[in-house]
Parts: sequence; C-alpha cells; structure tokens
Amino acid sequence: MPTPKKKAAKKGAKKSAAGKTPAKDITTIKKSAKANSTGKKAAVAKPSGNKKATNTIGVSRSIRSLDTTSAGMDLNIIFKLGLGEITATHFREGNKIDRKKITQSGQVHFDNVQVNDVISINGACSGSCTLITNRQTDPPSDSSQPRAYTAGSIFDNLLVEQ
Amino acid sequence: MKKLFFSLSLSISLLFGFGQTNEVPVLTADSLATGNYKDVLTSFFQLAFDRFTGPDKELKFSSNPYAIMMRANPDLAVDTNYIKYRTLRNLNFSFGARLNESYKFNGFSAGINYAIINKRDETIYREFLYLVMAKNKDYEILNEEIARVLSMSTTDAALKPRLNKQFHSLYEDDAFNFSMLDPDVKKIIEDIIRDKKLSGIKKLISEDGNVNIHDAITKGYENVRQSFRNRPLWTVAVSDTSYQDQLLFSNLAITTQFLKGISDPANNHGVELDLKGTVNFLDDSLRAGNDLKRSLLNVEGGLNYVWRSKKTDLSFFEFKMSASYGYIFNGLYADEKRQLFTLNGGLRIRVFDDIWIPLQFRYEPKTGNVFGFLNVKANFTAMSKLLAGKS
Repeated sequence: MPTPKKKAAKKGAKKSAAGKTPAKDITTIKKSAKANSTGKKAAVAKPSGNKKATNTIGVSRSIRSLDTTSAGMDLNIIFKLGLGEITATHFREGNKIDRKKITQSGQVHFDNVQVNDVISINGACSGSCTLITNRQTDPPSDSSQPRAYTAGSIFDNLLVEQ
Repeated sequence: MKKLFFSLSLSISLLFGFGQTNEVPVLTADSLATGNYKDVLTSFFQLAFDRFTGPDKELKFSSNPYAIMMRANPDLAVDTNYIKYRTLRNLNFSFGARLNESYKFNGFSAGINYAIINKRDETIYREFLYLVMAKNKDYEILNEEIARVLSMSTTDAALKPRLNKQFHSLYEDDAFNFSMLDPDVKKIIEDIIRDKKLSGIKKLISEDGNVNIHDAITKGYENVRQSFRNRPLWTVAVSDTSYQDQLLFSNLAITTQFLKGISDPANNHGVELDLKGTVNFLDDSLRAGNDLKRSLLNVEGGLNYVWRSKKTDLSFFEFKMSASYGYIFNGLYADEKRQLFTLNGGLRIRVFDDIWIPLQFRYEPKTGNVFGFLNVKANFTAMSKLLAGKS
C-alpha cells in the first residue's frame, strides 16, 4: 500500500506530467449501468496497442440524465525506476461506469465525471508512481498534492468533490 | 594514502552528488542486493579500495552508464526510458589506479562488464507486477467495494469522509490497526469481507482483531520480491591493466561469472552458488618488449552464505567459501607449477548501509601458504550521505 510522499514526489510529478503524451498501452472496459445493476460481467475490450486512449463511456441515458455538473477527468500517471500497471474504475451510485488500464506512464481520461463519483485505483509498481488529477478530490490529487506510491501494491479511492 | 582516498571520494561526490540540485532517484531494488551481487554487477556507483594490506593495491571506481546519465537527466527514471535503456543498465564500466607496496602508481586498470542474464532485477519484469497484484487480490476487491459504497448517494453523507479517511489509513498507515476503525466503518468493511468471501482478510482479522492491514499488504509484496532473490545473474567482463609507464595492455582478462540462490528465499539465512571463470593474457616478463604471450586459466566455484536482518531484510554478513583451479598454458616461469589448486574464503561485513569491508584469504594446500587481503567497498550514495552528515 502506498505511503504518500508528497514532498518527494511533487517535483518529479509536476515536471513529468506536464509534457506527457497519452498512454500508449491502455485497455478499456465498458460497462453499462444496466449490466452493473444485474451483476453481469463487464465486456473487456482488446488492448488498444499503441493507439491513444479510446473514449469508452458506457453510461446509460438514465444515468447521464442525472448529470448536471459533470466534466472530464484526467489522471496523469508516472511510473519511475521500474514498471507499473494501474486499473482505474469510475463508480457512480454504486455502479461501475467505466474502467481503464494503463501499463506505462501516460494519461487516462474519463468523460462525464460528476461530483460524488469515485475513481478507484488498483495496481502495482516496481519502482515508484505518482498520480495527478485535474479535479478536486478527497484525498487531494491535484498537481500541488499528487498521490505518490512506493514500490508494491497500489490502492486508492478518489472521491470527486468538484 | 588516506588523503588520496578521501580526496577521490570527495571529488566523485562533488562531481555526481552535491553539484546536482535535482531530486536524487533512489534505487530501492539495489539496496537489498547482497554484497557479493554488487561486486559482480553494481547498479549505481561503487568505490573500492582492493587489497590495501597486500603488495598490489587497487583503487577502483565502478558504475553503469545509465546511472550517470540519470544523474544528469532525472527524466530518464521514467519507465519508458527505464525500459529503453535496459542494455545500458546491465552494463558496468570501471577504471582505477594500481599502486605498489609503497603506494606508488603502478598502472591504470579499466574494464567493462555486461549482464547477459539478470533475472534478479524485478523492476523490469511485468510478471513481478502480476504476482504482486495476484498476491493482494483480496485487498483490491475490498478497495473497489469501498469505492462503490462511497459513490452511493444512499450512504450517509457524514459517514463518507470518515469512511474514506479511515479506509485510507487502514491501507496506508503502519500505525493504524483494524481495531482503530469506528464501529460503523468497521461494520461496512466486515460486511464486504463476508459478502465477497475475502477469506484471506477474514482469517487475518479473526486471528488478530488488532491486525495492521498496511503491514499485511506490504508483506504480500515482500514475499513476491523475495521469490526473485534466488534468480540467476550471469555476467561477462573484459578488463585490462596498463604498464606503469605506458598505456599498453600488460594484463588482459576475460571473465564470466554466474550467481544463483539455492536456498529458501524467504529465510533470512541464504546460500548462493557462485561460479567464475577467467582467462588471462599477460606480459611475459622473461621476453624482451611488451607482449601478451603468457596465458592462464582460472576456474572457481563456491558458495556464498548470506545473513539478512529479519527486520530490514538487508544482508549484513556474508561468508564465501570456494575452490579454484589454475592452469598456465603459456609462459611458465622456472619457479612456477603449471597447475595450482587453492581454497579461498571471503568474509564480508556491512558496516553502513552501502559500505562493506570484505576480507579475502587464500590457502594453497601443497605449499601450505595462506594469503589475506583486506578491501573496502563503498557505494557512492552512502559516501555522499556520510559526507553530508546524514548517515
């Protein structure tokens, strides 16, 4: 489990996140709200190889209609001194809305992320990892307070506040 | 001589350390390697003063090009570059000055060393990540289920921040135990553990209600890392030594070395197999002029015992026993035997995190002669810490 080392990670994360291109290896998993509610398994899309992250919003109309303050959410992830892998899952009202996997430093984008949605972060790294988002979350994850993870398992939940 | 040693240490420290204002990357994978492993392949910097009690001393600096490049450009630590420069990370180069008994210059030495197989470096294996994730799968499920609960508008608004904060503490804080959770938060977690049949966590909690989940997650990762400790390392090296007065080869050595752990990697007492073969081409001093017509082979096989601290997992004591066989192909001197069999030993004590003091000795059964050499091997980062007063 990561131990945030904010001061140490801040500098490198800021620097690296700014000029990064989107992840080259991102797997996306679509899931409709209906499928979630009935407990069906999510359909797993094939890895996109060297292509950029695909827009994979799988939200049903009923859920989208609740959206009054939604915006995109970017997760900039930097792995250092080793490999890493992170799966980020977007939750709303107890349902899995979207899931994306990143296997090297880059950016993950979720469309239509509302206040009180949660982004669940799961994965591992063999060196260190820094995560920065462009939204106000609890715990904070913006560029001034990036989430920093040391070698080992990575577990985090970001509650979107704004 | 002491002045020379510390001047050189200080110069290198200034060159690579204090001159930099960038964040210093920490090579965590390397810090747990055995001293024997670091002698075979260093992943950062090593400063060695070899055989300083013997007649033929050497002051040697070893490093790898990637480490030096990373000092200049910390962005090279990003995984994409880390993979891209894998070949450079497996390459070591060294240079040094040889000194005679009265500490006078006796020639330069230089060499390169390449790891053909380096399976101990878990940082480059995706398999390692999969094993870590599989080991801690229960914690991943629990984490996602907490995210699900947090995202529901039916969850009490006052409970949400407490649940989020305490769950983070449970996973991240080594001083936060399961029993410290508020009853309502604990109930949510226990319900998930029961509903999702997370037997691993359930067992931990039932055995000890005061269990530290952060430690359990870390232990899962450590177990996987330990399983990489026994993996093989195979290197090939070429080194040479110059004459005292000119930069021509006087001793060219081609060496190959193989290391592999053979004991239970989880045990803090470990044993590794160490095999080494060297072919030397030396100047035949009986012939006029400079040549490399004297050639000899040396084969050595041994076992290195490693004693690790239970608390930190750092190796702090090592003892190596080996037997070597030498054969002189060409250039046999009058008072020499063509074949030589010796028994060798090496005692290595870690005095600081990255400073080792190895004592080597050699016994020749036929003549009954015993030779001993005392060395000092210091990693640059440790030296930097020492000079900065941090250690």
